Amino acid sequence: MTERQQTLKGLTFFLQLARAYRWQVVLSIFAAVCTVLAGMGLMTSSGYLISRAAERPPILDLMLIIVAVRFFALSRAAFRYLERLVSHDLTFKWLMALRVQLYHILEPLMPGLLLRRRSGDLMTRMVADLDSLQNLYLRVIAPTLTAIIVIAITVAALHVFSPLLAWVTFFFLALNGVGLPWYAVAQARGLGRDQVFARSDLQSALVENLQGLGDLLTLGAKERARRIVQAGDRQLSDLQIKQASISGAQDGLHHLCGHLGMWTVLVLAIPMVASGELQGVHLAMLTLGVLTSFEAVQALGTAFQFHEQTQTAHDRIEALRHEPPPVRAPASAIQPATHDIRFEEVTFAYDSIDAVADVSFSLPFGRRLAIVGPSGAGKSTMAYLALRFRDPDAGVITLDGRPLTDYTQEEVIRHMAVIPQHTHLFNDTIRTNLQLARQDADDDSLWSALKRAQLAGFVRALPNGLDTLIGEQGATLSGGERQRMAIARAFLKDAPILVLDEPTSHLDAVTEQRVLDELFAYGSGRTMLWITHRLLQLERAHSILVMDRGRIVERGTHEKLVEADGLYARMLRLQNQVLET
Amino acid sequence: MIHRPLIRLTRRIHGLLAVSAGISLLMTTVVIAQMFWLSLIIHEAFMEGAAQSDLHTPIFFLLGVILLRGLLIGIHQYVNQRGAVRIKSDLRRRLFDHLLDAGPAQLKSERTGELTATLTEGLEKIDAYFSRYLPRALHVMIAPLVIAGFVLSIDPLSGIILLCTGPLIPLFMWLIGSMAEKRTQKQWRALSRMSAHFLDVLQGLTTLKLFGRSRSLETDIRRISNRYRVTTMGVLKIAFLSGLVLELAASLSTAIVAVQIGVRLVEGHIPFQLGLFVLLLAPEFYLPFRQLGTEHHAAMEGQAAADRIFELLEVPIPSSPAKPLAPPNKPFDLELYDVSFRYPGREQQAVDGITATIRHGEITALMGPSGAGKSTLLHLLCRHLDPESGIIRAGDIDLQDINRDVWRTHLAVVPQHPALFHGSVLDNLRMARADATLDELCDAATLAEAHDFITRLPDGYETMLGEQAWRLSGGERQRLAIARAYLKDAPILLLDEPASHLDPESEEKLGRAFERIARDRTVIVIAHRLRTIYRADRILVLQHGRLVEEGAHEDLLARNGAYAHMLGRTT
Repeated sequence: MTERQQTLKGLTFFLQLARAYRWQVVLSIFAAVCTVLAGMGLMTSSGYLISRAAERPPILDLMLIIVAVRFFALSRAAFRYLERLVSHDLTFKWLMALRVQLYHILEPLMPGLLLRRRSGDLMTRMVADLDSLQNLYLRVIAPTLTAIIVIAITVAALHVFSPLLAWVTFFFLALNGVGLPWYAVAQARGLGRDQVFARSDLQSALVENLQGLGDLLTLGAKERARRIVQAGDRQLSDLQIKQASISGAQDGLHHLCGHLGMWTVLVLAIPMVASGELQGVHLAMLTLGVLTSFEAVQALGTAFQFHEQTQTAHDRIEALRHEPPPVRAPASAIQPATHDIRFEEVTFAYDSIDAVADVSFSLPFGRRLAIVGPSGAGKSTMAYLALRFRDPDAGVITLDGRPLTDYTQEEVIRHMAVIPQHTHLFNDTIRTNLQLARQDADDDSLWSALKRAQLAGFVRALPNGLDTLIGEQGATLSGGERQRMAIARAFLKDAPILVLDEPTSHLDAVTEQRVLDELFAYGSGRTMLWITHRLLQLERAHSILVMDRGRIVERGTHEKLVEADGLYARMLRLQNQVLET
Repeated sequence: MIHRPLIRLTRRIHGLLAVSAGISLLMTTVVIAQMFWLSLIIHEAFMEGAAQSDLHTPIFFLLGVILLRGLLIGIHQYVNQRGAVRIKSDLRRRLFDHLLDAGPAQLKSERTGELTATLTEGLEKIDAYFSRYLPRALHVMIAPLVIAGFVLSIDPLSGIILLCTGPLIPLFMWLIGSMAEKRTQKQWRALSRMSAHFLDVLQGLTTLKLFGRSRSLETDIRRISNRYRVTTMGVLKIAFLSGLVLELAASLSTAIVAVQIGVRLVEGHIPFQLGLFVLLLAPEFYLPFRQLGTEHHAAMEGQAAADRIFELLEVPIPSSPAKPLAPPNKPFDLELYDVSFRYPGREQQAVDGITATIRHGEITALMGPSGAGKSTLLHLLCRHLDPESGIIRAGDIDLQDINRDVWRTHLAVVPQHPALFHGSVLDNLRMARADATLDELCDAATLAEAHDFITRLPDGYETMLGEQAWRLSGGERQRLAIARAYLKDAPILLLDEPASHLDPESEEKLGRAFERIARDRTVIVIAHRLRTIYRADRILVLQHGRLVEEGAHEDLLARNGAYAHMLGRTT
């Protein structure tokens, strides 16, 4: 794709918003143009004032100019203030629109997308991308439009006095506003990329050395770490010094260009004054006008740099927009009448989650099925598939005898209460986090769910009880408490199928026992799909699938599997060798 | 906006700062010269009707000073950025060295991601303070004074106007700034909260979907963004006032200078050239204030980042003996007398009055529930921490009298989650002994039951490991760490057994490697496996930081106390 097309693409993104707030955009550009013009007006009218005064006219002749000088002085400050307010307000509106749009794009892709990429990373990057896009108007669009308008007005005004001076000024303005930034960006392009790499090198050196701090100290590798970090630091510093010389040159040239423009205009104007082509009284005014007009192109340097950044951000969001949805919605929506689940020769392999191959089983309503096996065996993948986060590559999963693909993802999920391995708690109160599962749940039902999740005592001891804020991602809660929040949510959701993915991995043995008892009590009369690597209480499952490397290697009841003396029995023996601490 | 710790840092770049100030002074002189030639040329052309040929000399002088000014601006920028780069690099090295000295135990509560961010982005944030804010603050102390003084000498009335209006700018800005400061800061916090809200929603999308609530969130996002816009704009209305005042003062004062010169010109009290000269200098007088005003935000941000950096530099470091003693040169026991330790900010003692002897050549197992103080005890033995009270002795020498790094050469540590560093398998093994031969490395790996899996890696011993490269399973990592311990061949071995289940094959190999390396060494192991405990010569049972039982397996079992209870839970 050509650069030009990309630029246009970025602009269309903005124009959608501009249409909604068109008057505000006009006002903000108008105020920005007036700010620069007022600055020019102040100096040109001052220059004209003293030139005219030097001809010693009656003082009344000067009154109008004096008024103009004062007007420009006052209006400049006012326009600048107005411009900043309006443009910032627009920026926030633009940010809101961007957020809503991004949410629109992401919502249908979740959670299937997460199975492929690292979630935290993706989301953080998206938010960072938005942060850089939000400045598109303030840093790129507004300065560019302002510069174009001011240049047009300046050139037109100069044209009245002398076309030659007008075009000379135009040349220098263009050189300063486009030529120099373009040159600087081209100069710094490789350097910017090198810096990004140097920084990420340094970053990973720091991460691994800080994470492995204990090891490297006891290995006696302190000097090695120091050497690596210093090398990374030197590499980055050298690049930054190179960058300093480029930006020094850029600053110097930028200034030089403006003043050279003024100098050229002055040198060309002197013979015009001598020949009478130009009035001498206008000389100071024109010189000062040209000099001050360069304020209009001042912000274009950063606009250029910024444009590059926003392009990357924009492209990444666009790429998401064209991401195919992980699962396709069926043409017509249906609902299951019963809740029997079957996996028939299901095979699934995807980037970063564990593959499963040729898995078949049936789980009639009301039965408890446990899936066990070492980590990496593909246990969680089975839950993702049952929830229709993704569809299998081969084979079929049925609910009520019909393929899962006949139902919408929402419909499938509606019938399942899930306790995931990692639950997300929102930075809000405990109440809000629980009510997510059932919006109209009253205090009694919240407390009863908490009680069954063995969390009521904890919440009761909190100063604000249910209304306690739990911090970013539940930061104030321990792993076990977070897990029990997820369990309480599942109790609240009250769905016929219960999907448990390592529901008690963060709980101590006593609590684990109690929670499991509650879950089994709750699970009677419901279907239970229970994924676990801890072989505890498995005699309570109606049947057990033992998985290893994506395949079912054994199946049966606890007693049968112990008798068979296969993988299950070996895992059980090993587990009894490990102390529970 | 003078941040004391940050200013103290400039000690290393005093030279560069002096150069920067010198350039400021030079630039100001050049500005005066430029405006002089400019006013002269305009005067000659306008008032005297001079032709271009009469003005060659001033025109070339003007060109000369313009070129010189551009050059100086470039050098100024370069010098300032260079100083900032040097300060950042200095600070980064100091900070990293400090963290190395502080050790892992002191940094337990810090998140690596956040630490790394401080050492990279945090330092970049103070860049603007040194490369832009500080030089401009210097410039503001030089240029306006020189210009005002000069104008005063050539046209006292205008000079007085400049001198009277100049100080008003910082004064007003300070007044408005201090008015808005509190509200602004509150708003910045709200900003980070709200942008965190959006991230929170995105990260919780899966959870929202699981409860069928993802569709309704859009209005929430709209509402919260909007609320944020309204409150922020309320604050910006005030914050922007300082810009308004600055602009108003600068342009109004210029206007006053222009008008009074105009009036005096009409009355013939002042020659045109002088009038124009002063008028041209007036904006140059206000320019440094305006430039400084634009860096206000950069300065604030830099200070906030600096506070975090200086906080990290104050993380305490375990003591270093003034006159270090050598560790004993013959086999020794480790003796703990009434050793206690409490993490700062915690109420409970992590280790509470432990007295015990760890005999040479024996296997000592540490047992107890999580939080009992086992890891803290290992930290104390590694000298990552110093006991708060009590004493640990190696033979008859206090551990604190031995240089930390020297003491650590006597230890080999196999943690639960051994770190792998960016580099090949060989590099990672050689960290334990840099001069080990290939044969020695393979031998160590074989003894640690690691040789087999290493040779199965895509590039064998040359396979790259670390964050971005090949990932090893938990069991493989530990066997690699055991190979390192073989290479280090230290008399004391500290082991932390994996608490989680491994697959049966890994479990078996790891167990064999453990047993092999434990021979003929003083071994202290945080035990999670029954067979390790059965093999131990002595078991220390910890609870809440205290040593509650001590002895061999049979004795402890017979006592039917905490130990028996703990074992009972698993069988």
